[in-house]
Amino acid sequence: MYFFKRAYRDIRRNILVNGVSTSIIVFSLLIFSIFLLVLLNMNKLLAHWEGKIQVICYVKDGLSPHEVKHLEKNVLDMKGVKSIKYVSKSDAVLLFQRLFAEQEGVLEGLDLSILPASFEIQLEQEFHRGQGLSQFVKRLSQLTGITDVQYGREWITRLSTIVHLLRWGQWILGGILFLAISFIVSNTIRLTIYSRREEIEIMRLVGSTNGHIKVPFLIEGFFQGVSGAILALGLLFLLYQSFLLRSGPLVKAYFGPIVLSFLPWDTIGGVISAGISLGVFGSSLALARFLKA
Amino acid sequence: MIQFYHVSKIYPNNVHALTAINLHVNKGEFVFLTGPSGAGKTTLLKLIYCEESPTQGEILVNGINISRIKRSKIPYLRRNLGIVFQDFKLLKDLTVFQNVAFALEVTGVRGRELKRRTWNTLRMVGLVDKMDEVPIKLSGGEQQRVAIARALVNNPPILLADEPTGNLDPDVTLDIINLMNNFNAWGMTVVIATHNTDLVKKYSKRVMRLNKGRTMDEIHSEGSTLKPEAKASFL
Repeated sequence: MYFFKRAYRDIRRNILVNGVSTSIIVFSLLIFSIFLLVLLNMNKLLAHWEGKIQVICYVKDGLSPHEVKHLEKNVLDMKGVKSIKYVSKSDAVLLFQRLFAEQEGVLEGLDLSILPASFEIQLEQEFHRGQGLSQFVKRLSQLTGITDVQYGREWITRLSTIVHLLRWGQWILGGILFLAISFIVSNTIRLTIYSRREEIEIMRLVGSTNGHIKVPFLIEGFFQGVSGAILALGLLFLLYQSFLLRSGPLVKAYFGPIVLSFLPWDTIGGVISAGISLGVFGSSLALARFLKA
Repeated sequence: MIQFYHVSKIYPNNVHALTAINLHVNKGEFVFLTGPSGAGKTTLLKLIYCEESPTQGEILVNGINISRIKRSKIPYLRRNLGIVFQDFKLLKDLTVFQNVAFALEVTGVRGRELKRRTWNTLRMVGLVDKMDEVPIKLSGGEQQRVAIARALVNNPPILLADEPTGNLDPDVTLDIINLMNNFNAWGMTVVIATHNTDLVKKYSKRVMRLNKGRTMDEIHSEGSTLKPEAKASFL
């Protein structure tokens, strides 16, 4: 209790330097959590796009319903197939008509019976790219009854490369960003503790043990970390809200059915823990220098 | 109380601060340590309160060999020493009372006992009426009295002072030395480092002169017998 009282007194006495450290923690963590939020939603978007990856194969005309069923079962049994949907000739016509509903003139005089029936195949994630995908397509096209296979090869390859790069890049970027803010925060705390070196010197001269000197500083570091993290998350939430409100329609246009989400609770906990570690370890490291001398 | 046996201190840049010092200060003694700047007075005091460790030789303080003392034991040794500096070393944003109580807090004294002892010590140095002021509002002499109160509040057997009157007027200087003289009269061992030889001459005390890190001589200053003021002990 005594240490908390002293920490409280010291915070009040050094309100300015405490404010500086806390602000640095706030802005550092804000930048980091903006990064996390962008990452989270980007991953969500990528997962959505990846889910859209599908292979369409066209079915030979004139197959009996029984043959179609058999072919569907054959395809479904293939390795890597998550789900399959049969689009009959009449379904294709409906789809086509709906697609060109506003340009009826285009359809005039067209014989829609030339539209083939097809299967829309969703694949397991590991078949979304590279060899897995091309081998699957090769095996699929060898099945009797399949005339043509379409899968937007280039687009899928490009998307997969982007996903791959981003998945790795987020760790590297996140790591660098975290190192940078740790460095900035620990140096700020070092400066604030340096500004109180006289006080530490007096404490040592009147016979304070190192523990007695350290504890109030660590408590201060803890509070700086907690309040810094909570303020950063609060600011992030405000930014998130105003961004969503202002750019709702735009977001919808780009992100489709995806709802931009805020950080989940475990990440919020992580950001607060990061704040506490920055405050406590930053103070501890800075103090170690003074107490050694 | 304080014993130095062939103590030398060489700083890393090969500066010989002290060379083969032998010193014995008995319990209840009052010793002036004089010499020009750079003579080694401050280093000698720093060795006593373990801010520096000797390169050679042995030092005993209060019967404890502090030459090879463990770092973790140093705070407990310092609680038996009152230390006063030229620049007072007071915390500017704490009141006089808080500055003095600060030294008691570190030893675990709390509550009423803390208030009682702080108040008593402030009364001894004559600053009870200024206890709620911040140091910057006090005169130099008063600030040094606060520092002395802080040094004494733990009731240490030894008082060390490094140029305690360096920043003070001659009149105030005498006040401060007289105050320390009073504490000495009540049994406290006092060691004062000062380059002010005129001051030393005013008192009938043992004087150790240092020059370039060596003991020049030891004399007993004749002084004009400034008697300790009669004051009741609150210690």
